Amino acid sequence: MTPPRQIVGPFRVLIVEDETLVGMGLRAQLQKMGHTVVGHAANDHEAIALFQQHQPDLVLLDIRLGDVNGIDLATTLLKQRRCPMIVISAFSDKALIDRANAAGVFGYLLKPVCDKTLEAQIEIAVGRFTEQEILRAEKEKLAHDLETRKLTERAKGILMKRANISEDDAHRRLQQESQKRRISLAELAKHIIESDELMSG
Amino acid sequence: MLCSLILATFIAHWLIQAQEGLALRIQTQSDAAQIAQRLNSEIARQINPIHNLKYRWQQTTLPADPELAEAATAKLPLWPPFLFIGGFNSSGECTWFRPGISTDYATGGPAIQDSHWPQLLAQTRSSTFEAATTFIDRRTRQPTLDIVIPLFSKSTEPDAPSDCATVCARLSLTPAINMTIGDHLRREYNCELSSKDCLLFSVGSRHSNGEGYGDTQFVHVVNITLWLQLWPSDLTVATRINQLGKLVLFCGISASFLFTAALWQILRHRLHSSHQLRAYLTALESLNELSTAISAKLGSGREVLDQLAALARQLLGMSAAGIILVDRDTQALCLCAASGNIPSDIPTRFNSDAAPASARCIQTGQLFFIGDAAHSPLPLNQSIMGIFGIRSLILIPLAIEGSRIGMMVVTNSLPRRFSDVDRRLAQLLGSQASVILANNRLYEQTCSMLNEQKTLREQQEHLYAVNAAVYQAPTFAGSLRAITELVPAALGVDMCIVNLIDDNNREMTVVAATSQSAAAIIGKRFTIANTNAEKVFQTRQMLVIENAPTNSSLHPDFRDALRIGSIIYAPLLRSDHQPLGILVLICHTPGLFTDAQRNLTQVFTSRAAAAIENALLHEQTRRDAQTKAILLRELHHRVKNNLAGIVGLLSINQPDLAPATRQWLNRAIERIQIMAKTHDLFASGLDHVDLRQLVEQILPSLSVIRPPGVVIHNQVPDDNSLFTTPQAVSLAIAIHELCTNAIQHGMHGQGTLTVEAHNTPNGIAIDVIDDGRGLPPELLDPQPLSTNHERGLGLQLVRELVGRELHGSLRLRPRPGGGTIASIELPLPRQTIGCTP
Repeated sequence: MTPPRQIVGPFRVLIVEDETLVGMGLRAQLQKMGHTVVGHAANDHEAIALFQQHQPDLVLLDIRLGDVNGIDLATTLLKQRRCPMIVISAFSDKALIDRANAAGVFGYLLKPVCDKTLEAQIEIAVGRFTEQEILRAEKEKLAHDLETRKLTERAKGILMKRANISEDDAHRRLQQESQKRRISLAELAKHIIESDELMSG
Repeated sequence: MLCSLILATFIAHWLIQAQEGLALRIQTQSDAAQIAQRLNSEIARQINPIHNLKYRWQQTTLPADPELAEAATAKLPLWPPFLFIGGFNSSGECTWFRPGISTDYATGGPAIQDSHWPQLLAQTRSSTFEAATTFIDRRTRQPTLDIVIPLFSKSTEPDAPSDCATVCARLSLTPAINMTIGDHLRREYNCELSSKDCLLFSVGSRHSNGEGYGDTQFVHVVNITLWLQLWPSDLTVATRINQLGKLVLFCGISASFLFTAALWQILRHRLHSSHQLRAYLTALESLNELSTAISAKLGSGREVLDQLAALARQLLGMSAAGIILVDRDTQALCLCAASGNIPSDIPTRFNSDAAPASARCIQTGQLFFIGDAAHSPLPLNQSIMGIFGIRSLILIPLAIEGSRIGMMVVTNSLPRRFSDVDRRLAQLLGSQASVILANNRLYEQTCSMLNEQKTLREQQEHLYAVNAAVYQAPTFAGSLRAITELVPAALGVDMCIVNLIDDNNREMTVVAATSQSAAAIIGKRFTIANTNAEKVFQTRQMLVIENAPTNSSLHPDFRDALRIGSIIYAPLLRSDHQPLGILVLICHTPGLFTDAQRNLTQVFTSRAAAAIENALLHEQTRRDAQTKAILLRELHHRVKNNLAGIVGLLSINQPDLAPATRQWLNRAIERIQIMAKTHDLFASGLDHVDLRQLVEQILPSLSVIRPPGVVIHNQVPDDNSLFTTPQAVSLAIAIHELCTNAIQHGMHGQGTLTVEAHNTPNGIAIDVIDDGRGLPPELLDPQPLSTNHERGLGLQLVRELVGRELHGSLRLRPRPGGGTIASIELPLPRQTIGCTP
């Protein structure tokens, strides 16, 4: 379990935009804000290649990339690695926004993009992404703890039954054993449960 | 024949007579006894005169000693090789010659030994009147046993011993002996000896007084016997033989007669058979000929049946013939063909009740021969017999593949007995007729099927032609006109109308009609509710009204205006089965539509619906395309105007700007203007622009920055390398940038700027050539890195645009003789540019 990366600007940004002039404009805007543009992809193949190559902190996606849909591309990229993504669209209809939301992007910008909204959107997106990452990490930890707790309780129960000792003694013995063997409590508990299952057939 | 038989009989008779000796030889003992008795009686009757004769003739007494005996025999030198024998008296004593004496005195052959005699005697005794002796053929020396018949003559000769036995023997004489004896007898006694004659010998015995009688008597007896042989001893035998001969003769003649009679009968029968056979063959030949002839001209059904009837009549030798077939629907009997003496006003249809015999014949599949209609075993309709004047008739069933289709009736006005040949002929005729009928039916079926197929094919071809015409029509109205003009001929109707449903689905419009009535009705609208059209749309099926004048569902005005006799409403359905319209087919006369017409209408309607739908879609697409083109033009206008508006906005209230800022702003405005001008090219409705047009559009805008000393040449050839809007905009900006760079940075207020284009191996290259001072070395290729300097020159913009939007590349190189060549190399299909390299 890795702690979420604290993303603080400037960011390394990947632009996915098939209109050259718009892309160049975005690049100029981002550079003015102090971010680094690691790539400017004009289609999905380029986007995937650059995304893997540069591991950007942020992706700006045009929603219409020739024949390809930017939202689908976002989904593909997110499957590879979690990363804040902002969709830039000339369209503002509800269905598209819903789809973008469902795909898990963190921002939705309408063309033409002015510097301020872009900046604000980047901040919000990165912030929410970081927040989400923290929450996700916490959730994972909690789930892990719960699992450990469950295992420990079962192992304790087995110990109490087998060695005929009190709960406190059993807990203590588990901890001692865990330290002695240099394995986690959960792992030890798993061993105990497995051997108990084996023994009791 | 008779003669030869009789002749044979006579020959047999003669042979029997000739075989008399043989006949005697094979006598049984009882026969021999009978013969002996008869002979005895004859002898008894006649012996005396013979004896008298003997006595007269023979006075000599022979000495009773062997020498004497020998002498006696010597007196008979011609005497056959007999030997002799003895007699026995009543006491059973015998006196015999010595066998040595009697044996073959001529040659001294084997003698009968003494030992033989007891045997002979025993035989004689046992049978009391039989004795046997052996005659020796002197030539072959073979002993021959013959029957010896004892004769008793004791009463006939006064001086003969009473118990003297006379032995009679029948000799089989050889011709030579016969001759000698015969000669002797002829000479001595003037009598003839024949082989039939019997020789008698007698043997005497001793007298009762004890005086020997034997030897002496022997010769004597021999002589007597010789005399006796003159007596026709064969009398009784011959009588018997004659009777046998007669019997044979009678039997032979009778047998001959019988045989001849039988032969005659056989011959007659043969003759009759061959006659009948010939008739039968002739009949078969005619039958065969008819079958062949009929097979050769199949199809004329009635004629074939008539011929068949004629043939049946002729072959069976009857006065009339008819063929009756069963009507498959009503089961009535129909007289389909007839030949011969038939009244003209006869009924041709009968119920099976009215013709019970015919019905039965058909039902059972049996042939019926009725020799006399008055005494028929079958129930006959006597009134029909009366009408046709039938006295005898034959009923022949006809069947095809087991199913009974009718019968053939052959009649005669006189009673008649039917022969086997008639029966077989009738049977053959029946099967032949069945075959002919079956063939004929098959042929007719095939013909009608072929005709149907032909008609169908013709109509299909028509329909294909119509289809083609409908699809090939250039416009929607043209398609509809093709349908209405061509369909009547293809579907065999007089008129065709196409109605299409309106968008509101409640009304229909007549959109096309066959020309004669088109003007009057095209464009008319009517509501669908409560009309036949509604029914058609509800059921999605054709509606056929075959008798329009009496049909109330048609509006009388409509009916009268179009002279509708019968009408078909066929629904035109879209591919999603929604109603599209109705195809109305009209005949001016009432009448049925054939199945083929209906089927074809069905097929055609679906095709026509598809064609109309296609045409509608095509029309729609065309209109859409037009709209789209207009919109696109408008769009380009708007874009151009908006860009112009932006330029205008940028120019309003311009503050005092620093020179660099002013320069940057002006550059941006120029770029926007180039974009606007490019869009202007497309605003005229073009999809593509060619390079020369594009360059011509760009170059005038350079006039703002162009110093007076700079000459600009457009040397792009007229070609057909075409660019779409985004490509054109990018290319325009790129060329403009390069030209601006050249004027502002490369040239010092004078020189020539040329825009050229030429083919490259991969596409085209557009060269912007100046004869200025040339590029600074850091910008020359290969140095694609973007530098601040380059950025300032807008080269990065050009590279991005050329690379990303046009998938080409930018190349900068010094011009020989000073200046720079900036090349935009674009991958394009080769022949799209017409300039010479």
